[in-house]
Amino acid sequence: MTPTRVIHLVDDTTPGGVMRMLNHLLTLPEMHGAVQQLVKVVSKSAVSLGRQDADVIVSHLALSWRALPPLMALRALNPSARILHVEHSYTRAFTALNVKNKTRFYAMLRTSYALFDGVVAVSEGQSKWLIQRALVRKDALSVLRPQVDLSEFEALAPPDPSTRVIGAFGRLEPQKGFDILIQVFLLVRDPDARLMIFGDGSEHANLRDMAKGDPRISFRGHCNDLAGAYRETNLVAMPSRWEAFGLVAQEAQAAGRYVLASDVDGLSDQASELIQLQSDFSITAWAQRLEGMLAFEQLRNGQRPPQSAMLKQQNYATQWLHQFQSAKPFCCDTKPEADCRRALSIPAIAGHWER
Amino acid sequence: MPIASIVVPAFNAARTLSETMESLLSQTLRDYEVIIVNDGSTDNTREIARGFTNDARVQIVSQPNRGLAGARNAGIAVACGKYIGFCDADDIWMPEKLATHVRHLERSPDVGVSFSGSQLIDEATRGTGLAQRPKLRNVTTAHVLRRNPVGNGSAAVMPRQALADIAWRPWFEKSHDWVFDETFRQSEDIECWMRLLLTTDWRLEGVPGLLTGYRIASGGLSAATDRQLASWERMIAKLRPYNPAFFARHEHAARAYQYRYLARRAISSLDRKTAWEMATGSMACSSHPLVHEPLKTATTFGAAVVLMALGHKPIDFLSNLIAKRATSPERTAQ
Repeated sequence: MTPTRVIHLVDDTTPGGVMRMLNHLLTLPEMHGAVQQLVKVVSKSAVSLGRQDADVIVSHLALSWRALPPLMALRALNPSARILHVEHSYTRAFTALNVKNKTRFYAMLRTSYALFDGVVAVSEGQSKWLIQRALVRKDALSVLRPQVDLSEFEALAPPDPSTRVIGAFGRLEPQKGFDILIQVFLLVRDPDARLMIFGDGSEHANLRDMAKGDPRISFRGHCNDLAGAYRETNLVAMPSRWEAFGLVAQEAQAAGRYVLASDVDGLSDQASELIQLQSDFSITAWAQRLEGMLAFEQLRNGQRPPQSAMLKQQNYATQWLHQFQSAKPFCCDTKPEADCRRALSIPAIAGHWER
Repeated sequence: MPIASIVVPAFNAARTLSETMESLLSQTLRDYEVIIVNDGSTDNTREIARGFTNDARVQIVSQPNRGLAGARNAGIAVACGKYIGFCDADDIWMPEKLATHVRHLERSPDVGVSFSGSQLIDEATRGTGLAQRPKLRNVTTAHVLRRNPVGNGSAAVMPRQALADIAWRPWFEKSHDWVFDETFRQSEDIECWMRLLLTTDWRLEGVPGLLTGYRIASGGLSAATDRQLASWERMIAKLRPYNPAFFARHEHAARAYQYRYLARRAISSLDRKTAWEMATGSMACSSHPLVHEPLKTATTFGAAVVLMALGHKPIDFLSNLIAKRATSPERTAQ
């Protein structure tokens, strides 16, 4: 059996959830032999995404009115490929805070989603929203929470009981709510508490100003050794304003660190023994909870936290295989025209597929 | 299961509850329930409410006093309808109100608050000739912050799902989830609408018609001006972290409208000092009201100046004039 050829289209290769999820998906042992995967970077301003030489095309692109013509061209030029879309960006809370004209935004989403054979939501919360607003047909929608390799994090020792470090991980953008976190931390009275912010982004200067030179707050920049960063922290704060999934919470949990996260979108899915949710952005309420959690860290004195059920999907690889292979094109007689087109198409360049 | 529930928070409402209930029980839509929440009343609200329970559609919830937000939350907790409306125990719903909102919500599945304009009525349920005629369509978050088009506590009907999407349970709460924030004794409405808009994707939209009779109590309200202003500011402070950039852009204009509203209230209760403070305060905050509603803003400022310089007689004269026009037969509320 020839392996199914899958092309992943991405338009944003900055280090973050999407690229890490893809790196993991590409290296899953279960995919070996059954699926050949390729990542293709496309320009955000591309006029057409053109003909792709693949059985399955997976879009990880950010949808917009401007991106609609290239997507339509992609659909038109690849009539027999199975085209999937993974929704990494949009959620209910995103819409609340960023979209002025919701009716127009939903029209864009419905039109775009209708071009795909399947849409993959990255959390239950997101999927509920897609259904509630009738943005995607129920039968075209599935939920697949992103996974990354967590073994490095699982191997970490429990937090050092002599320190009281709150870690924050992510791009320094309004989405992550680190401005809220800094205001919260300024209310935490403990002189030995520390706030370490790992990440970079457009809000850097602003956040520095907000920290008012509090020596307990440090900006550590983008960090390549994530596991090393988690080793330094006792607990993790995620006051995100919106979050399609929120991988950081899973990493922190794997590292045995308690998490305080805002109760939005994909984070709401993840509530567990270690991942605690705060329903609002009240600065005092967050400060009280963080103080409480720091005190608890002292009490537990470096003991391993209870093993809480990881959100690991048992059959993550199987589910992706199913996505790739269901309704395999080209093999049925009911689509003779598809065969014709395929016969006329330019053959794949040898070597292009070998990774 | 009824299609709609109407929650009626009632605190010491013996004088007006009957009239409110009669208006609610004569809605043209048939399939609904009415939940009277007796919020620790010390008069005979309870007995009057009991008088309506012959009607199988009416039920009573009693609790120690929690305030308007707490009473509404208690009502929401037992409501079964797909749509939930609110009517304060001194206001009135026009017969077609519920039907109109339910039709609107069925047609627009992403509308989270369906509201209407209101007639202002006096203590004898006579029309005062004044009305709230809010903007009905293309209602943006900024517009809600500035002008609160919902206008009063008896104008809104909401899908149950919208309420569920913003409900939460504070750790100390034993009996029900909170939709309205019970730590607010004023500004609880605008806090709820703004939170809905800042955390979910539900829209606010109005339907045409003055479908609510909103009773204006006369006299002695300006004492509460400071408290009113303080809770409005607390609402801003609570919600600002959701979107600081939005508040930086719009809160000054919104504050100007809030001051202007308080100035108007102070003028009608003939409180010279407060009226003057609020009117000038409004001008100092932002020119938005003057630019976008020049007539109303100039009138308010003018009235505050007249009140300050000449005392209450000219204002009395003018309001009598308006009242006389309003009580001519074709202008009464019912």
